[in-house]
Amino acid sequence: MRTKILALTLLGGIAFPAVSDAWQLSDSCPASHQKLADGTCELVTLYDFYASPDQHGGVQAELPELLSGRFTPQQIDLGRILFFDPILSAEKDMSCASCHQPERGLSDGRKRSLGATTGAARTELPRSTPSLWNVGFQPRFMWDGRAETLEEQALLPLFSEVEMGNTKEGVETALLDNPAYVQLFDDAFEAPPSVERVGTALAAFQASLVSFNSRYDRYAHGDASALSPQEVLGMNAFRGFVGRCSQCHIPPLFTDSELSVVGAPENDLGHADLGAGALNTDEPALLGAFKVPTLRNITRTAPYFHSGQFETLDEVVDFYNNDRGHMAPEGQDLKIHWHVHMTKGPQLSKEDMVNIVAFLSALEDETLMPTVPEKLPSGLTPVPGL
Amino acid sequence: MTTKLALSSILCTTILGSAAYAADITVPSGDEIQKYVDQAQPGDTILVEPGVYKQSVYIDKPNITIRGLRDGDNWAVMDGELIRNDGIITSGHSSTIDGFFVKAYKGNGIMTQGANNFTISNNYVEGAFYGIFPQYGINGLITGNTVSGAEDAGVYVGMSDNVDVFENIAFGNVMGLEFENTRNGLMANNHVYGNSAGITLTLIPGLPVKDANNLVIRDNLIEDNNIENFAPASSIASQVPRGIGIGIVGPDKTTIENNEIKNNGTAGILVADQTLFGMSTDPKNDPYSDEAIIMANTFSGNGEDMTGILGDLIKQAGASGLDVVALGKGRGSCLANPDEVASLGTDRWETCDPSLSAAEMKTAMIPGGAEEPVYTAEQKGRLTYLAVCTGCHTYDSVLHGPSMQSIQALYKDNADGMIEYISEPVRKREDFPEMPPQAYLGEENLNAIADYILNELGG
Amino acid sequence: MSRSPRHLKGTLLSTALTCLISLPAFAQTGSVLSDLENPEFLAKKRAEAAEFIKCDPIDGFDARMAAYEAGATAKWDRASMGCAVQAGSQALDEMSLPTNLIWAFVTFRVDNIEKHLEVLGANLEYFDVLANSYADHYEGIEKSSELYVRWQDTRAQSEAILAKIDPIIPKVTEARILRAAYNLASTVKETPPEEANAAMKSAIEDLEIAIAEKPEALDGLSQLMLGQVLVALPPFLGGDALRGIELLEQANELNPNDLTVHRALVEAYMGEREDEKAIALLQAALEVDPALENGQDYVDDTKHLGGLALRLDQGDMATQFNDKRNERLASNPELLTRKAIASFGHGEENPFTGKDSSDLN
Repeated sequence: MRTKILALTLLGGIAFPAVSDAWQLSDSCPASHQKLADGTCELVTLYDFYASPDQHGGVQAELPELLSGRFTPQQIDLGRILFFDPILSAEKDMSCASCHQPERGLSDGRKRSLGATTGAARTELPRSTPSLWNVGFQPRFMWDGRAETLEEQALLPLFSEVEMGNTKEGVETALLDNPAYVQLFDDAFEAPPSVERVGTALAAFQASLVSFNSRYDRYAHGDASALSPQEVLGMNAFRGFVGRCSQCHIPPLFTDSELSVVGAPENDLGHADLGAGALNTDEPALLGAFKVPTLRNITRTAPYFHSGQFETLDEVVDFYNNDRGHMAPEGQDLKIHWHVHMTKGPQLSKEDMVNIVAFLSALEDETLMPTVPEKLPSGLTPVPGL
Repeated sequence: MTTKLALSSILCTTILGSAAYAADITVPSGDEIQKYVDQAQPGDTILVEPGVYKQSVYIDKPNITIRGLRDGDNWAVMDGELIRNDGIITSGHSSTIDGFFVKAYKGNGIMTQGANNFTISNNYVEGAFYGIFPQYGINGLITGNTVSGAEDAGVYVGMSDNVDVFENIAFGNVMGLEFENTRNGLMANNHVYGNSAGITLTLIPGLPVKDANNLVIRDNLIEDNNIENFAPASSIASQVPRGIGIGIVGPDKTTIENNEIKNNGTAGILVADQTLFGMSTDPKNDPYSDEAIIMANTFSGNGEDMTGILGDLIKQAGASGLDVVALGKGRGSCLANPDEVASLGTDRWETCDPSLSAAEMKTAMIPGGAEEPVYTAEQKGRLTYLAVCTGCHTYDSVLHGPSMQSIQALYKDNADGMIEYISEPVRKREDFPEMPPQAYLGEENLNAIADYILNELGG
Repeated sequence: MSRSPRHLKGTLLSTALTCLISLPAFAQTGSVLSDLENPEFLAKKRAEAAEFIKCDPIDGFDARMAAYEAGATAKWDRASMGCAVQAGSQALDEMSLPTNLIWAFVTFRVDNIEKHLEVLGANLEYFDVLANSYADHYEGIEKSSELYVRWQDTRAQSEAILAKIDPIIPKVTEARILRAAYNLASTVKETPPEEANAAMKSAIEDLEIAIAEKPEALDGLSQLMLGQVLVALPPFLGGDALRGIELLEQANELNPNDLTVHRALVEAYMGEREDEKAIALLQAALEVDPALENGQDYVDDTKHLGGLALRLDQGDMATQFNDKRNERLASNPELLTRKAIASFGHGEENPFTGKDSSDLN
């Protein structure tokens, strides 16, 4: 289904002229959301039925507080259009979706993201593209946690010289010069385009990217048949107190959104990234710390880690199963998270490791993957390939 | 979430009951227990015959009792052989785990994860990280167990509420019994001996639960807790002082009454602020141990072999043989018969009023069990529709599945037919992906969904 | 004397807060990590650490003093501050010190006395920076060896200066105060309890004399130190929270712009459940001009004060401290935020590390 729709979209995506009165933002909330009296959309999941505290490690727990706030259907839909529109980049050749590609799990399948074109080729950035599922629950963004809100995060790649390379003026001029966008911003915000409103709309759209209907979720809600016997074994190893995977990848989000030092190896270019520690020189606790990623749809976003150090999930599980710090870069004085530290590596059995990887495929759920706009107010192609 | 708050206030009831079809299921000696657990229905009791079970058991459904049958010294033995991870883990509410000998697991012996209304009884747990560890449970009973050899706490009640710990034996652990970040607990008639520290009541910073209070420790025998602390160096348990009968570090409103506390080398009872262990602080914690009530205990032979930082501290004050040591800035604490108790740091404590006695307290559990919100059928139908169905269906257009309008037309006046289909869908149209079965939502929810879709849902 | 007082505050704060009851690094012995109990292994690791942290050699008084001036306040950078303080200490070797004050004035060498006290103060500050670098839990032999070596180096440097100023202590109250500060600061880590206890007793004696002799010396530093010690110690070891609070109040009057004093006094009030006074003092702390403090001290103090505000249910104030702190961090990106990683497995961070500041509760 999905690929077919995409193929059609891509074929038809050759410069539609922007006709301002043809543009209409959705008045309905996205799937899995209900519209409240104030006109905003509220997420609804089966986890709402549980009164147990959030992040308790069991299967039937409440979700943590949604940090993104709520948005109107119009703001969400405008965010969707902007997300796919290269108009936000300086050279009009990149959109958010250039790296966060729907057909690649909202990532790009690369060890490291591609950025702006310098000379003949695109710049390779130092880190990989994180997926976007359930980001509305996160208290921090980017691999090193440097942004604290979706709104703040959304503007970082826009203005980064090595990414979309734009400026506040560049973004605002392009949007204000486009009558369709002026109308759409008026519909969504009753105000003209501005960089702040671009951030809000992108935040609204990204907060709507939720994934809580995987086979694991059906198991959690009581459908024992939703997981295969091997996946159940994997889940049990995952949540047990030897593996302790679930202490940081806490269900139902499968992350605690913390910065954590796990002793990640240097990448294939020999670069040892200091992560959050690079933002805080000589901060021992944060040297080599990266944000704990969600494991939802993790099978869709190989390679893994902040610079694609691991090609497969088997390699990742093997990494965690080994001695603490065994792959940590030479000379880095890391304060490795105590769960990795205290057990000298969990030393799970081979079967446990294979089963954990099998379990991770039960976290796939892309039913709420957003629809790629058929055309854009800019007249540009929605997903320019990089 | 606004909806949730609004809804949970409407109606509350207990989750007990609905055991209409309860059955007993017997596991023959040495067979695979998990197989029987998977077949069991809520309300069933699984009886495990004596024998050795080299396996782990996980329970993710409510209201299951799993009981090891015992014939003298012949137990149902769960043996981790030092290669398996955990003995028994349950996330289901209203679980009972009874009568097992659990030994040689690398992780925990018996654990609950977010399970309310649990009972863990008559087990013997030997050698584990935590012996018995209910985490995030509301309303539970831990009774008649023996725990030994845990690298942290033998019985570790973590971030829970309303838990009774009765008549257990704990020896050879770093900590015998512990209430950590727990509200409303009663430990009574336990025998706690030969641990590094006997009973600890703690408020640990950096955890999601931010307080600990209303903990009663009564009628226990707490003796000879002097063994070397053998916790892993990097763990917080490695900083637990050795030679302590009872340690109170952080919680408020604690009652220590009518215990026999003897021969604990550093001190009988320690009352201290959170900062004692050099822990990082948490602005959302109150670090002081307030309102400790210490009355009618029998002390003897404590503080005669002081060790560690705490021992050094007491020595600096020129004291020894202490029953009670109070450090820090706690307020509102009291000591009954202060003249008969060798204490240090209790100058500002009052003499306990006899009315503070907890001798009559029978339980810390909630009568009738823990509550959870109940939703009306309309709410259940609408919310489940939104949470599950809208992923694939929209009202008036085709998404991954047909439109709700066409489904409404198909099942007009035929709710049963619709329920039958969504419980076990079959592929009807080649151009749509197969729908996953929804039977797990349960009869009540399915009825509610059908009613909502056929009678309420509009464009 | 221009620089010492304010610079010292951090040292003294952490000294008193952690005195006695914090775990010294060697508390790890008896653990399962038997390497730590092996003296040969430890010696080897410490020798490696000493080699690793060696500073570039600097020759000549002027160059050393210049290096000192350039880096001695970089509390956010353990390595470069260490080398700067070392350079300053070495420079003093070439500076003679009169033992007779009148003679000092006659020979115009008052500056020399001041310089000695100032460099000693920087060493004491460095103890504070090191103490903050120790983690709550054991974190590996390389780091603990490095800190051990730095600690011992700083101790040796400080003692060399103290030996030179010892003769003038009866005549110069400021020198006495610094001796007390040394006794407190240098025993926070890497010190057996008996030794730390003796150092504390000696410090208390010096501070009592200093307060009687010259209460206004170093803007009330004696009162700040003694006040904190008396608040932190249990009564049975000589603690006296009420007198401690009186002394801290005097320190606050003498130096109302010092956030470190605010921090200590707010916490002392809270220990006595004087919440109204604590809240009023927090309000006063919000009015203090950030430019008056070392950047690192400012962001550390405001973080701590914000945490105290939270404990007092003053979410608005906590937000204001957080905002001020963020402003300072934005203009001085080199400062350490001291964000914490999840130490206890379930996440839940310090409210200053990434949560919406309106959601501090």
